[in-house]
Amino acid sequence: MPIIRLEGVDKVYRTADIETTALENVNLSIDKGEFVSIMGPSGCGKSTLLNIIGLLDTPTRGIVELTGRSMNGLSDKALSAFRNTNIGFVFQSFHLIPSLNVIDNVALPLGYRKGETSGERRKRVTEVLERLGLGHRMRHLPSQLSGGQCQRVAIARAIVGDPALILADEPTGNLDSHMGGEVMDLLHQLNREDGRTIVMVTHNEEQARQTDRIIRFFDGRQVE
Amino acid sequence: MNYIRQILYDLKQQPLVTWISLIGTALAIFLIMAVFMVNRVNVVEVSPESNRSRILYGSYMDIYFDNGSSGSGGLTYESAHEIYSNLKGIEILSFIETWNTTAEINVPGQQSIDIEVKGVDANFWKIYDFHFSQGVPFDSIAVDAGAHYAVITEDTAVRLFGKGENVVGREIQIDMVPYIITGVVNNANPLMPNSYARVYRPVKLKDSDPGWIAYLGELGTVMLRHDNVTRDDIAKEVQARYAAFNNRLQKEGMQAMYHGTPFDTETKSLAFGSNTTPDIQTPRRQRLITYILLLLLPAINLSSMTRSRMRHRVAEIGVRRAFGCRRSRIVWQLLCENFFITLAGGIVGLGLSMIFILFISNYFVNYTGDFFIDNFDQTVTTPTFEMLFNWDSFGFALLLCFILNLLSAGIPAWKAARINPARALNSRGK
Repeated sequence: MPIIRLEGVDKVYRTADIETTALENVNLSIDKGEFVSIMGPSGCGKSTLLNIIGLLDTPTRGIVELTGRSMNGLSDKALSAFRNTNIGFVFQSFHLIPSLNVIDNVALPLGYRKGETSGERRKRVTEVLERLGLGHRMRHLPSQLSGGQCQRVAIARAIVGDPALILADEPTGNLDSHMGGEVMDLLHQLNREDGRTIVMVTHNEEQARQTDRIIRFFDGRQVE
Repeated sequence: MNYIRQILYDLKQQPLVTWISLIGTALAIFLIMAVFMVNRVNVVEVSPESNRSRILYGSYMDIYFDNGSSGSGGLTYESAHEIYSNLKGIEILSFIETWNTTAEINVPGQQSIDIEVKGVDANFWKIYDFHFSQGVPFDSIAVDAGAHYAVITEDTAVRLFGKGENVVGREIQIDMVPYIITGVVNNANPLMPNSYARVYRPVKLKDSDPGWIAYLGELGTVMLRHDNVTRDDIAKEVQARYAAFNNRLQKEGMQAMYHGTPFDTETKSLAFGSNTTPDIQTPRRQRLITYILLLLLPAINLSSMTRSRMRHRVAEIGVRRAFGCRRSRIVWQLLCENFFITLAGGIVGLGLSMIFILFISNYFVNYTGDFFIDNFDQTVTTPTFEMLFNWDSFGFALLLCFILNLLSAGIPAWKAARINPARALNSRGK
């Protein structure tokens, strides 16, 4: 059963005068445990697609199914709860909260859940940070970390809630090749060892080739 | 904890906007609290008027004649007794002189000084909780006998005797008449005109001097109502007494006007004459309008500051939403953060208002508001710290912070929470 299924998805942005089609009739199916790359030129709709899969945006038309459930028409509350437990995000510009230290940044998704004590949360955060080699940076603020460390913290935040799906939007876009390589290794490790499904938007052909499948977009349409 | 961390971070990242927010809040709270506390002086419960919420006053009589003339003033013992004695809801009734008099007081053989004197009965000491540092109050037997006893305040004891110690049993002269001191009480405050005097002596009751109309005199009544009875219940009973009183007066071509007595402390403070019905609603309305204006105007300014601070955090809101934070939680978080800024400003504002009232306001505000306070001895009429700092003031300041927070941050927070998460994430942020 696919973990992601999109059928006939359109996304149209409308302003008073202009109508821009960001996605047109996208049909997509991604299985559990796959590592998929999405490629295409800037403005072709890759990030829009990722936002729709990540339930951060809604399609103008079409069906979005995640883990076999239709996401169309769900309330904000239901969508928030689904994102919290099933999806982890990794962004190009890390998007760590600058006023929070590493522990609190990583613990962010757990704060929006019920049923876990602060001790249990702390234990999980510590385990994830240790696993990602950040045990010595827990009290640091994002401004005190290198770009690679920031992205590792962001990955820790993405996986701390144990989601089945990780959406990464150009995760190495702001990193040099060495750090980018480290991050890619980490994502592959999460895919291989944990069986997490990863959907990654990238411009890097080499990194894309290392994934299970490449989906290419052009002008809002899936071309491959 | 994270809320405070966020404020500290804001102070570092956007010092100007955050400091302006803090100072703006402080000024807003300062202005409102200054108005609140100035007005609060009239009703705050501190010694010796700790029972203000239960104390009632029947102080005046206003009589109209059939020929169109009228007269008003205090009551005689007879009229006071007829209207206010044995009311069902009253626990203690005290007869006192309605107005203080200024008398020449001296220790025999020494020069006299002008001091305010109040005639009171023995129940006066049961209604007002004076603290006796020396001796005891005079009792009802002394009052009935017209004994020449006196209770004086501590500062009067010092003024008359130097050190002011061991003065019980010593003699003073009030307008050349000798009195024996039975007790010394803590200083009274002229801002509590109903209990204020420097020297208290037994009031003359049955032979009190009737005024030019037989029912007008120099007496007034102070009552302590039972907890389970409202002022309105007692007012109904008093109104019925007035009706019965007027049945008799009509035969003499007179009518006593009922002005809504007994008054509570707040109403009494607004009674600017013995022949008027105090209007308590208008000042309350004016105060409410003042509070609203003083809250709304800074709230509008602070709201734009809050929006400015939130604009820098749009990406963060997007991240929080992405990881499962609901809109309501975003609103709550932003309100809580802003509340701590408002609270910090509120504490500064509260402090400023206290400093203003304690040390500066005397130049601007006539606190007594009471035409009958003689203040002949130039007593400073500034509220005490005890009158200002109480849970009421603190609670009101907290409530103001809460409202100001809602007004200034409510709409910006609500709008911020409704930003599309995908769009929010496109904002810059590390």
